[in-house]
Amino acid sequence: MTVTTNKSSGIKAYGRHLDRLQKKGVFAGQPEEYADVRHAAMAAFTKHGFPHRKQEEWRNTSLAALQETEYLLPEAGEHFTGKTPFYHWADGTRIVIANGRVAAGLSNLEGLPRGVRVESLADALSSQPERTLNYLSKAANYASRPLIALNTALWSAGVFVEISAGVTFTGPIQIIYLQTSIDQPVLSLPRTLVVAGENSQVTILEQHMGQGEATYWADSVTEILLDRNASMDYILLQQETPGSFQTHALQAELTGDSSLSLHTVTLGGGLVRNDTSVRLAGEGAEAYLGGLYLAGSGAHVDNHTKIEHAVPNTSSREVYKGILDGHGHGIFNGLVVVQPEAQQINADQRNNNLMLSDDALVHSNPQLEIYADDVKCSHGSTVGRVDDESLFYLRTRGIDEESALRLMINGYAGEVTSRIGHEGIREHLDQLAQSWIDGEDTASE
Amino acid sequence: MLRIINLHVSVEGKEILKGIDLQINQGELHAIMGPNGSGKSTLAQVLAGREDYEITAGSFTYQGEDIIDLPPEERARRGMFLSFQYPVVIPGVNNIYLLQAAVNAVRKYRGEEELDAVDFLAMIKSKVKSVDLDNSFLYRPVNEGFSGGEKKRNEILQMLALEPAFTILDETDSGLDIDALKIVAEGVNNFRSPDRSFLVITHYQRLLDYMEPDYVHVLSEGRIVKSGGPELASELEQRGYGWLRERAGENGSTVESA
Ligand SMILES: Nc1ncnc2c1ncn2[C@@H]1O[C@H](COP(=O)(O)OP(=O)(O)OP(=O)(O)O)[C@@H](O)[C@H]1O
Ligand SMILES: [Mg+2]
Repeated sequence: MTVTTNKSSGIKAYGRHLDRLQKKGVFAGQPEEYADVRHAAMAAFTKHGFPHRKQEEWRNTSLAALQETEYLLPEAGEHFTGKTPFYHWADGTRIVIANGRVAAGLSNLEGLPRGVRVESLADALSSQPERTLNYLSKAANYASRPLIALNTALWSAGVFVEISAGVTFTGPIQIIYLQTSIDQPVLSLPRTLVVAGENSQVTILEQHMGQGEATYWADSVTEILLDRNASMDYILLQQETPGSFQTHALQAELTGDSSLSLHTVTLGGGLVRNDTSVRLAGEGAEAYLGGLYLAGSGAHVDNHTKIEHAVPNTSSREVYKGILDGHGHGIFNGLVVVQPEAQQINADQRNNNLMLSDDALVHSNPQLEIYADDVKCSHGSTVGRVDDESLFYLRTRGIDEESALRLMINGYAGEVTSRIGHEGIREHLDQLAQSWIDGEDTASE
Repeated sequence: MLRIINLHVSVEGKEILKGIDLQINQGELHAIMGPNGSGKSTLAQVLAGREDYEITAGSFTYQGEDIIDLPPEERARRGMFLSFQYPVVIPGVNNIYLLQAAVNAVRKYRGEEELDAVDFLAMIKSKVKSVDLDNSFLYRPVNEGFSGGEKKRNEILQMLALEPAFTILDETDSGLDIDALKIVAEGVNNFRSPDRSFLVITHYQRLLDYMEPDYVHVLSEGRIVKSGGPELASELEQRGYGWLRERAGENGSTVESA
């Protein structure tokens, strides 16, 4: 059997999953209209197949290893009975999907104020199809994106957050996708839909984590819709296991005067590919995209971002920072597109990479595609080692080399986390980053 | 306190210091002046422990001990302090964080108890005020976006916090306005004591008018070509360095001492 037939049989296998899940009644109660969407999405996935390295967008990331594995798609994952392995706030609002099921026992949806809805996306689709279909798959277009298509066709457990107009909730809302270790590799399909109404304000932490030796492929889709003058702090935290694959598409759509602060923090993992896409579709909209990726040996973290200025008077700022150690591999591919009618826009894009080892590898490719003439755009990227001048400076203040290095690396990472408004989340992320850095330090000793 | 004997230093294969002899006793303040590129900063950085500057001959001792093999942090803990000519920006590291880490590293070395955040803040606040900086400077990343003068005052703040026995000021007066110069000079003067010594590198007599050095040395092309009392500074202010260079040339490598 050649590799090619292997691949296509793999693709067909995913197609059979859809029929099987439908027969088993996993999607029971969901509107007919969405069944059609699932079929159309599966058709798109079958047509395009997996992305491959001949495509410009996938030049540095190969999914070959992922295709060689047969991932199970259990109609209902194991019940998770363990202790809460994640950080959370006492009485904090959270919804937990463990092994592909909503884990009611781990979630806390008590006492949500009026106008804040946090619920299972599948439940919402069954009980309020019209309201849900109003938003679902509006930002995440699957037609030409096979990984979004696969998720759209097969997802069974997801989260729907809706903040009504004028409501402020910065609690935060915690959305947790947890994968624990089972005997066989599984495919998990996290699906998140977040809708912020006019003049609303909200902080959301979406967390993906694997435990222990878990090997899985998480093909995730997050859709974010911001109505007029809505303001959102969105933190995406990825703590995957070394044996895992994470392909995550995040699509955000911003209407007039809305503002999105999006922070993507990736702590190691196996192969991580983030396709983050933000569309500034209304005048006065502004987006900040912060990214922090830490990759040591065995980790391959690929961030592809696209910011589209579709209308005039919009602004975006992007800062992605990587710390690469061991044989870690980091990729940043940032595209800013300014459409012809989008005059008077501001866009700034930065990517910095700190290399802690000679064996680590980075590909950085910031790009501007500008079709308007009256714009202010800048971009740049750096790849460098720890600055010797700074190290010497700190040491002349009595700080030993090891501590000085840590201080500098933490400071470097802190430039991304310091932009997070919620103090608790910021401190938690700083701690996670610090223990990763400490871990890498001891590992290399 | 500090004794330098026939010190030769090369940077990237090029000899910069060509035989420096200098002795600084406890309580003394020595000034070093000299043309751009003559090696003043090189000397300062070598004393502080910069590792990529190669000592090819000679030696120096601090408090009677040969410290050439000691790393910079160890020298700092023993009471050496260098105020940088070009203070370095440390992105993402708050000033107060650096100050506290530095002070506690030194306290630990001395066998003193480390200060917690509250005690440290109480200690540092009056010092921040004495160099005429705002408390907000404590919470900004080290030197990031500081003006030239603010950077230099921040260096003096670090000196005051660390209470070194031997301080090197490398052009701490450059880039200061007249008021700031006064603040820095007063800060140093108040800090002077019979057991603290200073090596002050400067281009301007004005700083020395405030500080009253015990000795003034002229460094030219890697050698100390003239040493004298405070009056040497005013002579240099009037005559420049040209006459010294010619004389150094005439006399070969002979060093004239006052
Ligand atoms: N890393 C380096 N590589 C090459 N040359 C260097 C390096 N560092 C210093 N030098 C050279 O050493 C010489 C002495 O430099 P130094 O900074 O000590 O001068 P200085 O007396 O402090 O001058 P200034 O008054 O301008 O501060 C200069 O010619 C300088 O170019
Ligand atoms: Mg100098």
